[in-house]
Amino acid sequence: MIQAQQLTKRYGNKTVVDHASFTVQPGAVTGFLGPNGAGKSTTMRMIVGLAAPTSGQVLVNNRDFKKSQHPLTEVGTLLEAKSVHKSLTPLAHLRSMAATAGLPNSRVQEVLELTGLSGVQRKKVGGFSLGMGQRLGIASALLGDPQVLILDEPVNGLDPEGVAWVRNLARAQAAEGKTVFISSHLMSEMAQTADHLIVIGRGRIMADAPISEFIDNGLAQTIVRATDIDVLMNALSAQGVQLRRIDAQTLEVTGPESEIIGRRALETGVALSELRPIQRTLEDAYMELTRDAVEYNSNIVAKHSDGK
Amino acid sequence: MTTQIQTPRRGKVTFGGVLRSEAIRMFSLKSTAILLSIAVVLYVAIAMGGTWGIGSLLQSMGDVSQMEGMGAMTQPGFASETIGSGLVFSQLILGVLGVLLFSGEFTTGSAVSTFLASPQRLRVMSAKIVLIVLLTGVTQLVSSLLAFVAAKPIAENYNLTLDFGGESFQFVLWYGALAVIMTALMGLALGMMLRNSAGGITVLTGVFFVLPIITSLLGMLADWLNNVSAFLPYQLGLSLATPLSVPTELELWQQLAGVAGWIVIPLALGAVLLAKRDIK
Repeated sequence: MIQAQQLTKRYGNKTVVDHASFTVQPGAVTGFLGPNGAGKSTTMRMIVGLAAPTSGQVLVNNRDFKKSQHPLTEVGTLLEAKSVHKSLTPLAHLRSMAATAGLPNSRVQEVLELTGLSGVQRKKVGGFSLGMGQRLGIASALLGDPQVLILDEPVNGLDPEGVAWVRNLARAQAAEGKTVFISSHLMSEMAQTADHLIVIGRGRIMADAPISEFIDNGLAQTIVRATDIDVLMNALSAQGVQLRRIDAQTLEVTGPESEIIGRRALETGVALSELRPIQRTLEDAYMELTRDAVEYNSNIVAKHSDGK
Repeated sequence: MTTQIQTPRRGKVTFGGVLRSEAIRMFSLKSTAILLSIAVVLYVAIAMGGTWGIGSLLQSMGDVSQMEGMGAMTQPGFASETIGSGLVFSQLILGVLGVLLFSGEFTTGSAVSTFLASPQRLRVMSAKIVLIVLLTGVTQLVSSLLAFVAAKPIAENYNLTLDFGGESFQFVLWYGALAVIMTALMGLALGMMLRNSAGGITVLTGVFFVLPIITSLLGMLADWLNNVSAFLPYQLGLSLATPLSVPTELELWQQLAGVAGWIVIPLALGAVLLAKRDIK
C-alpha cells in the first residue's frame, strides 16, 4: 500500500506536485494517469525516496522507503529513464543489484528468463533498444519479488506483444495481492490494465476512483434537438437532471438514458428532430479532466458527493 | 483500517552486500582495468627510467658530492626514492578512478538503480570509500613492489643501493600508497559533489597541477602563501614519500594532518550534498 499525504514538490517557484493525497491499495492495479509533465514521475520518485518532498509525506507499507532495510523485496521500481550503466551487461547489472540484498544468482536468471533477456544477458546495455531497456528495467523491478510494484510508463517502446505481456504481468501481480502502481499518459492503455485510476494534471490529483466510474457514473449524455426545446426542458428538469443549452434548439442532457428522454418528449408532445446519445469513452473523460485542471477539480468533487 | 505490515524475511540490505554490489560493477567495467593497468605500467616504467637516468648521470659525472645542489643525490636513500618518481601520475590516474566511481552513477543514470537497491545513501558512499581505498591502495603497493623488482638490476648495474628494508623505500611504499588513497578519495568526493566526470577530473587535475603554480606565483607577493603550498596535496604526497628529493619544513604530524584534511573535508561536504540532493 502506498499512502501520500499532501505531497508537494517545488523546483524554484514551479510547483510540480501540488498537495497530492491518495492511497494505492494492494490487490489491484492502480493506474496513474496524466499528460506529460503532470508530475507523475516526480511523484513516483518521491515515493521511493529519490526526490525529497518539499512538504507532505508518502509512506510505503506504512513506512518511509528511505529507511527500508528490505528495499528490493518491499518495492520494485521502474523509472522512465534507462537507469543502467551503458557499459554493463544485464547480467552484471542484475547481479550487482541482487548482491546488495543477498539475493541468489538463480533469481537473476529467473528474471532474465521472465523478461526474455536471457539471450542478451552478456551484451552491453548501451546497445539496447528502448524496448529492451524497458525489459531490463522491469527485470530489475521484479528482482526481489516485491510486495509493491511501481512502474513508470512501462510500455514505452515495447512492441504489441510486450505491451500485452506487461498488462498480464501487472494483473497477475495484483491477483497475488500485491500493490501495483503504473503510470501512463495513455488512457486507452490504462483502460485495459487498471482497476482503479488516479488522474493527475498540473501536479494536482483530479480524480481518484474505480475505472468503472470514469465511464458510467450515471453520466449518460444525450444531445436533443427540437423546435419546442423549452417545453422539453421544463419536463426534463422535473427529473432533476443536468441540462445545458447549446443553442436555440439544442440541449445537452446529462443523467437520464436517451430512451427516457424520448418517452418524455412523446408525453409532452414535443417533436424531436434529433436524439443522439453521446458515447463517452474513457479517452473523452480523460481529455475533459485534463483540459483545465482547476475547473474540473470542483466537478469531480460534485460527482463524488452525488451519492457514489 | 488495519494493514498487515509484514517484514520480508529475505532481501535485507547489508553493508557487505552493498560493498559486493559495488565491486561487481566496478570489475565489470573496462575502464577500471584500463586505468589500473596504465597506473601500474606508467609507475614501473618511470621508476626504471629514473633509476637508469640517475645511474648514468652519476657515472658520467664522477664524484658529485662536492657539487652545489647535488648533495641529495649521493645520500644512501636517494636511489630508493627514485622508485617513487611516478607517484604523481599514479595519484592522478587512480584519482580519476575515484571520480568515475561516483560521477559514473550520475552520468549514466545508474544512481537510480543504486539508491533503489540501497536507499540509505551514506551506506553506498561508505561502501564506495572502502572499495576505492582497498583497490587503489593495493594497486599502489603492487606498483611500488614491481617497480622495486624491475629497477633493482638497473641500480646494481650502476652500483646504486636499493635497500628494500631501508627507510627510503619503506616511505615510498607506504606513504606513496597513502598519497594515492588520499587522491582517490578526493576524486570520489569530487565525483559525488559535481556529478560529472569531466568536471571532476578537471578540478582534480587543477588542484594537483594548477594550484601549486598559482600559490608559488602568489608566494612572491605574500610570504605566508609559501606555507600554504606545503599543504597542497601534490606537495604533501611527495614530501611524505620522497623527503630527500622534496624536503618540507612541516613536521610529520602536520603533514599527516594535512592529508587527513584533504580526505575528510571533501568527503564530508560530498556526504552532506549526497544526502540532501535529489537523485536524477
